[in-house]
Parts: sequence; C-alpha cells; structure tokens
Amino acid sequence: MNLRKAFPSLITAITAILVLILVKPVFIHGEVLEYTLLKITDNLLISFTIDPLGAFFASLASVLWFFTTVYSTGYLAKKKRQRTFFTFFLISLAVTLGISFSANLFTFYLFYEFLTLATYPLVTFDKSEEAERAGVIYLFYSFAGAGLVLLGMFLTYSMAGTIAFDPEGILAVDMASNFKLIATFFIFIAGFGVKAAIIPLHSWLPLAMAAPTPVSALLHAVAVVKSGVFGILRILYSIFGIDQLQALQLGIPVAIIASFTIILASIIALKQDVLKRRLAYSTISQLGYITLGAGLVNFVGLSGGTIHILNHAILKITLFFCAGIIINMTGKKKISELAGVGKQLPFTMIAFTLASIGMVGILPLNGFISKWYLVEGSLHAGAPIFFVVLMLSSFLNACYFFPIISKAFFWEGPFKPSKGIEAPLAMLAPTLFLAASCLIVGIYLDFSVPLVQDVVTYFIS
Amino acid sequence: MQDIQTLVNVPWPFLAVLIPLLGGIIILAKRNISKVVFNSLLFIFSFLPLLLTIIMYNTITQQKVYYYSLEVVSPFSLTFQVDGLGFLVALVSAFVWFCATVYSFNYMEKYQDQSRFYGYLLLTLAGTIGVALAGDFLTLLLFFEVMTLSSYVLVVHNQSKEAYEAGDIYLYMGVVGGLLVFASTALLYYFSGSVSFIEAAHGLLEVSPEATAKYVMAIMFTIGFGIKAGMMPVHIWLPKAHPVAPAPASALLSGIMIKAGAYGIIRTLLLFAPPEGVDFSQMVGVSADLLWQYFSSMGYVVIWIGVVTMFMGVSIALLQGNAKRMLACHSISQMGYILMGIGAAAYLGNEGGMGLSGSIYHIINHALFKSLLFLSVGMVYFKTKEVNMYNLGGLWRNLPFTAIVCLIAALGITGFPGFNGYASKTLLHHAIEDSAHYGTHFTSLITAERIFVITGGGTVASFIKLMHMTFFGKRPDDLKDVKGEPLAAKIAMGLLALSIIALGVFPHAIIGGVLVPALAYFNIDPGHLDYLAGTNVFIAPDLFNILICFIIGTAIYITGKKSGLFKKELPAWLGGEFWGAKFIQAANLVWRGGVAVLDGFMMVIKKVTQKIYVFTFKNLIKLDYRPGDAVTYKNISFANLDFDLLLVIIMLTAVLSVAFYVQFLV
Repeated sequence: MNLRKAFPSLITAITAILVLILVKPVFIHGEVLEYTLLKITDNLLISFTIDPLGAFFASLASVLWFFTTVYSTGYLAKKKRQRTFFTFFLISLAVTLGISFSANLFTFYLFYEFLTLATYPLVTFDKSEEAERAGVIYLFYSFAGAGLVLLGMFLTYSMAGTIAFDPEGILAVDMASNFKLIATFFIFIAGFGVKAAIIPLHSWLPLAMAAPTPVSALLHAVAVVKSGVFGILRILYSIFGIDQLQALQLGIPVAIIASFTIILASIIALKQDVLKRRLAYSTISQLGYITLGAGLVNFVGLSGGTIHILNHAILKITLFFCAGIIINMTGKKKISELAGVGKQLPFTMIAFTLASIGMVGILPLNGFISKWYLVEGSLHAGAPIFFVVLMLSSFLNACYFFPIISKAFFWEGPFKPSKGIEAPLAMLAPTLFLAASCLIVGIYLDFSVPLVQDVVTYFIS
Repeated sequence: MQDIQTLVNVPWPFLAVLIPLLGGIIILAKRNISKVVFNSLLFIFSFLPLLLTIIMYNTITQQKVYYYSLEVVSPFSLTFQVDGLGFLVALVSAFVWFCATVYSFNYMEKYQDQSRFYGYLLLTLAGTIGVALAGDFLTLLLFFEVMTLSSYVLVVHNQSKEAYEAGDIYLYMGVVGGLLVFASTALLYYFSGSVSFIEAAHGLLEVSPEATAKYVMAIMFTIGFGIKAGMMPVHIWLPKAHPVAPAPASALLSGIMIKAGAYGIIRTLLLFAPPEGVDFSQMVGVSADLLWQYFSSMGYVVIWIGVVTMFMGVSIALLQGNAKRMLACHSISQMGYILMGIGAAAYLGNEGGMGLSGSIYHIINHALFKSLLFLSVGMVYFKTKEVNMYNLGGLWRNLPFTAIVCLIAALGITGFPGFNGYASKTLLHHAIEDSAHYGTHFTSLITAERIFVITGGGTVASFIKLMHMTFFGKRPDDLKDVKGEPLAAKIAMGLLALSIIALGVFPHAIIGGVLVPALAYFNIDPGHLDYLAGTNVFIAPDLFNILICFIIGTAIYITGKKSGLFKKELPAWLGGEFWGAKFIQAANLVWRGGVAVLDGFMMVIKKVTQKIYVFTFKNLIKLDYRPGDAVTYKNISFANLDFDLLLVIIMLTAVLSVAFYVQFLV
C-alpha cells in the first residue's frame, strides 16, 4: 500500500485521536468546552460546544470513520475516481463533527445542509441511472427536511429569543400558546425525521443503497441517519427540555410514531431479497429504537436510546461491511443467491452472524443492552405497549436475519473454499475488528454504560 | 440439618462452563488435525466439566452453596450460584454428555464436517451446564440462548430438507422462548429490583399479590421455558427437531436440553414461593397464607398442563412407526410427568416436597434412560440405516448388547421395579394422590391420577412395541449380516445402563441422601422432609399400581397389534402437529394479507409522493432559464451540477418556510 492510498486513513486516524483527546475532559471532569467561530449578529453565532451528547456522537463517528476509510481503500482498490470519493468522504467527516459540536440551532442547521451537499456526490458515485435517481430523491427529501428545520428555528427564535442549546431547554410553557409549542415541536420532528428515516419519510434511504457499500455503511448507518436522530435528541432535550416535554406530553406521540416505524420497517425488511435493501430497512427499524428511547422521556429510556446509537452503529456497520465483502468477492447482491456462501467467506459470515445475533438482542452481544434499557424504560414510562413492540420487533429481526445465516452456512451452493485469504485484508480486518467489538462492548459494559449515563445525566438529573 | 454455608469466589462453576466453551471454539477453529489428537481433545473437553461438577458434590453432602460472580454493571453480572438442584442437573448433564461424546467417536465417523458437529456439541454443553449453575435470571438467559443457538447447528447437521424444516421451526420457537424469558426477566427486574434468584423472591414480596402483571410475568416465564421443555401446546417443534439430528445429538436434545426448560420452570415457581425467614407480620397487605394461596392455584394450572402433556404425548407416540420420532414423543410425555410433579409441589405449598423431589428424580432418570434409548436406536440405525420399526425385527441375535441396554432403558422408562423410572414415577404418583387428598380439588385431581395411570399403561404398550418390533419378532432377510457394535459405543451405553440400574436398585439412598438434601435449600416444612426421607417405594400398593400399568399396557399393545391400529395412517386431525401446521398456515395467510395491505398502503404513499416530485420537477424545469433543456433533472450529478438549479431549490425551500412562518405568526 503506497502512501497515497494510506493518506485518507491516516487523516481519519489523526482526526479520531484528536477528537478523543478533545472529548476526554468532558467525560472525566464534566467540563463543557465552548468556542465561537463567527458572530453574524448578537444572536446569530456560528459557535461550537462539546457537551456529553455531542462528544459521544463525535467520538463514535470519528472512530468508525477511520475503520470505514480503511475498508474503502480495499473496496475501491480497482475503481476509478478514488480522489473524488475520498475528498467528499473526508469533507463529510468534517461536517459530521460540525453537527455534533454545534452549540446552537443555526450552526446545526448549517452543517445539516452541508451534510446533504457533501454526501450527495458519494451517493451518486456509481454514475448509474439508479444512483442518479437516488441522488435526486435524496436531495429533495433532505432539503425539504432542512426547510422544515429552518422554519422551526424561526419559530423557536420568535418564542424564546435565543437558539442556543441548553440542557434544560430554552422553551418554556408560558412563552407561547400550547398549540404553537406543539406545532413547533412536530415541525422539528418532521424536519429531522427525514434524515432519521421515520416512516413515511424514509423512502430515500433504501434508494440511496445504490451508493458504494462503504458509503452505505457509514453514511446510511452512522453519519447521515444518526445526525437526524441526533437532531431529534437535541430538539427534545436541548430545545424543549425534559420539563416541557413532560408538561406538554410530547414524548408519547414520538414514541408511537417510532413504534410504527419499528414494526413497519421490520415487516418490509422481511420481503426484501437484495441484501443491502434488507439492511436498509433494518436500519430504519433500528433508528426507531433510538427515537423510541428518546420519546420515553425518562432516565432509563433515554439511556437505552443513547446506548443504541453506539450499539446500532457498530452492529450495522459490521453488517454492511460483510455485505460489501460479499458483493465485492462474489458479485452476488441477492439473498436468494447466497446459499453456501459460508464456504467461500467463512470469516465474513461469522462476523455477519455475530452482528445479526446482536441485532436480535440476544445475550451477550451489545444489542441486548439497548433492548434491556428500552424495555425497562417503557415500564418506567408506564407504557408496556412499547415493551410488546420491542419484543415483536426482536422476533421480526430474527426472522429476517437468521435465514441469511442458515442459508450461508448450511445450504449447498456454488461456492468453493477460497484459496488463501478470503478477502483483501483492508476489508476483512476492519470487519472482523468491529464484529469482535460488538462482542466486547456487549460484555465489557464498564465502558459503554457509564459513558451513556454521563450523557443522560447531563439532560435528566 | 446443617446450616447453609456459602462459599464465595470458588471458580469451579465458572470453569465448568468456560472449559467446554473454549473447547468448542478450539475444535471449531482447528480443523485438519489427526483423528487421535482430535478424539483425545474431545475426551478431555467433555470429561473436565464432569470432573469440575463432581468437585462440587458437597452442595449435597454439606449444604454448601458455591457462589462466583464477575461483576460488570448492575444488574448485568455473570453470577453462578450452585445449590443442590443446580448441582444435580449439571451433574447429570455432564455425565450424559460425556457418554454421548464417547458414543459418537464411532457413530459420527461417516458424517461430514465432524469438527462442526463436535464444536457445537461442546458449545451446547457449555450452555446447558451454564443454565444449571447460573445464579440469576440474566446469566440463565445468557446460557439458555447459547444452548438454543448452538444446538440449532446440531439439528440441521444432516443438511437434508427435513432437517432444514425442523431446524427452522426449532430456531424460531427457540428465539420466541428466549424473548419471552428476556421479557419476563425485564419485568422481574422492574418489580423486584433484582434478577438474582433469592433477592428477586424477596423483592417480589413487596408487590401486591393481586397485581396481575406479576402473573403475566409468571405465565411468560412458564411459556418461555415451556417451549424448550416441550410443554403442550408449544411442543410442536420437538417431534420434528429431535429425530432429524444425528443420534448422539438427539439423545442430548431429548435427554438433557429439554430439562433446561423444566429447570427454568422450577426456578420460576420457587421465585413465587414465599421465601424463608420473612416476618410477614411486619408487612402491610401481605400475609404468608395469601401468598401460599396464590402459589397453590398456580400449581393447580401447572398440574393440568402436565397431565394433558403426558397423555397427549403418549397418544401421539403410540401411532409412530419411526422409532426416533416415537422416542421424541415420549419425551413430551415424560416432560408432562415432570411438569405435573412441579405443579403438585406448588399446589401443596411448603409440604410439596414429594412432587418436587419426584420431578427432580425424574429429570435425572429421564435424562439417563431417554438418552440410552436414543443411543441404542441410533446404533440400530448405524448398522441397518433403518429407523422404521415395521421394517426391523429380530435384531437381538445381531446386536445383543444393544438389545440388552435398550431393554434396560425400556424397563426404566416404563417404571419396572428395580429400574430407575419406578422410584420417580412412584414419588410422582404419591404427589398427585396427596394433592387430590389434601387439596381442594378432589374430583379433578383424582381424574388426573387416573390419567396418570393410563399414561403409564400407554408408555408400557409403546415400549413393548419398540422392543418387539426391533429386537424380537421376525427378522427380515436383508438384516442377517448386521453385526458388531463398536467398543466405545458399548462403553458409553454400558455406563448409562449401569447408572439406570444403580438408581433403580437403591432408590431410598437417592431419596434420603440426594434429593432431600437438595430440597433443603427451599422453604419446605422440615417435618415434611423427614417424612419424605422415610418414604418406602417398594410397598404393595405402589407395586400393584405398576402391575396395573403393565396390564393396561399389554392390553393396549395386543389390541393395537391385532386390530392393526398402530399401522394405520395417522388420523391427521388427531395430532397436535396437524393443528400446529394449520395454525401456521392460517398465520401465514394473515401475514400475507397484512403484508399485501401494507404494500398497498406503501404503494399509495409512494405514488402520491412520486406525483408530487414529478409536479415539482416540472415546475422547477419551467423555472430554468435555459429553454429547451428539459432533461436537466435526469442528468444532475455533481460533475455537471447546475448550481443555479440548486440555488433555486434552496430559495424555494426558504420562501416556503417564510410563508409558513408568516402564516403562523399572523
């Protein structure tokens, strides 16, 4: 591997280390760092802050970005236009970090729009007609969503006189009529719901699977969709604040919308035959978990949602990496063609198995922890119906993941054991490492649970 | 009785689970090693857990509890806590596993991919021992899932079409079972603030006995574990999955793994028993009597579930021609006995030692004789490639050793005096009789007792059938040259047969020396324990009872044989599977309908949004100042992106937003 190829990975590695150094004081001393870049007017600032939630998201994104970049160098080894790819890939990292460190709605909105622009060339990277169409739809959905966010921002400013994020919320019940507050809330939810792929605002996501697999993995399992969810968390806990949410009873509607998303997406996923599309619908369903956790508006529920940001990111990126290896090494995109693929790609399929078991929420993988906290949260919220939703969705997860595994390992197919290493090391190593980390994060809870509790304590004490 | 002493931080239970786990991974990773090394590795890895379990024998002799915990974050810690019950289940699992592994050395030779089979066999062993040694419900759930997922591989090992079908239903029902246990564990933690067996039982006292959620939890636990235990009506996976696996795996699935379900149900029930040493006068709204009353009505339900399960199981079994399938159906029936015993224990409250000890005894006995039966039928299959009883016969001349051990096991399962099944069945019979006489539901429970006896008769009939059609009777001509049982298999089967006889000849030593000390961990009346310890099973009424069973059994067999009832095609509508299949069909139909409706719904949304897009695009193209370039939107990509178009889009969004804004304000 020459230096030019290693360069993007190097940059992301450095970024990840810098971000980790930067966020360390937040988690250790509980300090919140702030920095104002540009003052447009007194109330319109481009400023950054590192609070626990932002720090959590930023460190997750930057670390996973590193792995994805390494994987991409392997995946795109024989493709042209690598320079274009990595340029926008790195810009997207910058924008994602900007989103996570935003100190106010304006900055957030700015980076939210940038993210769409920076990822558009990645989505259409293949230049196929399908990709172009997906790109156009992606742009329109995203801009429509961002437009709503802008509208929400105006409304918020008109009521609160500020748009800076605050852990206790900046809106209060006595600022405006309940109707206006609730309307603002749902405008925001619809705006961020586009990127968070809440049904029925989700159709761009499965189409965007036309992108190269590392892009799907990162942007559509971690960065883009998680920035939508991140926006929802910000709205709920930094703009409205827990007291207003409780006073206006806003949590339950969000949780209901999320429940519909969870169940519907799981059912649609069942009948997808293209592996990446099935993963895409699984993403939609799993994002619902995070939204559901946020909508439960209690400590345990929010912990569940937040910890699922981490767990889902690792699990889904592993699954996408596996899908990418399968596509690259065998050229098969459909699940029905995958019988016996475990012979050719044993390690890949082991990683896939681990991640699927995690997705279903079976001990001892990390998905279980999220599910446990969400379930406890729904009981604490006094709404056991969400409990049922979670259990049903776990079963549906099993129904759409396990057939792939049993097909791959136990059915006879045209695949022959590969000679030597089954896939380029640049692709296989990150996949296996992340699959192992699913297991490690699931077992070594001293790492993830206190981290998430720090984040949640910042909003709900 | 000595006080219970807890030994903290003794790693034996942890090692007993860890060694087979690591062993399984090593075997899976290390393919291509010589056969001698491979077999000795297997021998070591399956012998060590047995040894480590035996080390903990003083849970029985000296009332010691082994406790080992790896703290993570509360409540997620890996906790092991070994009391008498857990020890017994773990011991019998490890022992039978060891025998089955030794047996497979020959049996598995001709199968493909041996390392996969043995690797997952060891992983399943780790899961099973872990279930027995776990100290809280989360640890139990962990090993329960390990067991389910790794045993799936054993079920589909043959890779035939049947195996895939059976594997699918096994896996999905297993997942549902696991999820139910998970859900009820979560509820338990919510109610009691703990998941450990003892603390949770204390915590549950704080919840009012009238709270329905508590019983929802109990039901979910019972169904979740009941799926694994082959409880009616969630048994449908069992007759499919057990026969398709290779014989050693069938033996373990049927002999050991379903016991994990029964063990879970016992743990659940003990959770609801009022714990010892609680001063009820200090508590508001809760009294011991009230708690016992609820406990007892739960027991009543479980008794009837057990009775129905045992009777239905044996009825299906009588109609089977496939020997392995018949044995699987008997597993359902025998699990019914165990469930009934557990129910009777709960029904009689703190005097329920008879039912509990009968169940535990039967768990051990059934593990021994059912695995031996599967192994001997497996040996017949190994030599003749035939499992249909109607095509076999007269094999005692060819396979004398197999015939003898199979006879011993058959005598065990039918409850012939002097063999192990007799003692446990007698205890269970006492338990149901006691429930009828001392409880409040005399008529109903005395009916249950009658069914119990008839079921015993059915069991006898179907094992006369097995022995007669396989080992005695007329030998088909093509089976003349069958001979030679391998030595390793002989040793394994011999060990099991010996243990069956040992447990059967000295039942009183077992009851007094093993079962009563194991029960001492639970809140059972000491006087009752003394009475239990003095039970004599070799008395006239009990022997007479077995005689009745054998008479009924012989009668059923002769009638069945003469009238050709056994050979009749299964009247499909009688079998539970038929209804299971119908149910699945109906569910499929509902499912498809639902999906179709959903599809239609999504289609409408899609069409509408597409219409909106097209409309928007058309208007946007009109806005484009370059005339004649109407295909712009098709060619948008970053390389030739018209920034003006993009600007138009952004401006439009902004304008729309402002319009909304004004509308809201004014």
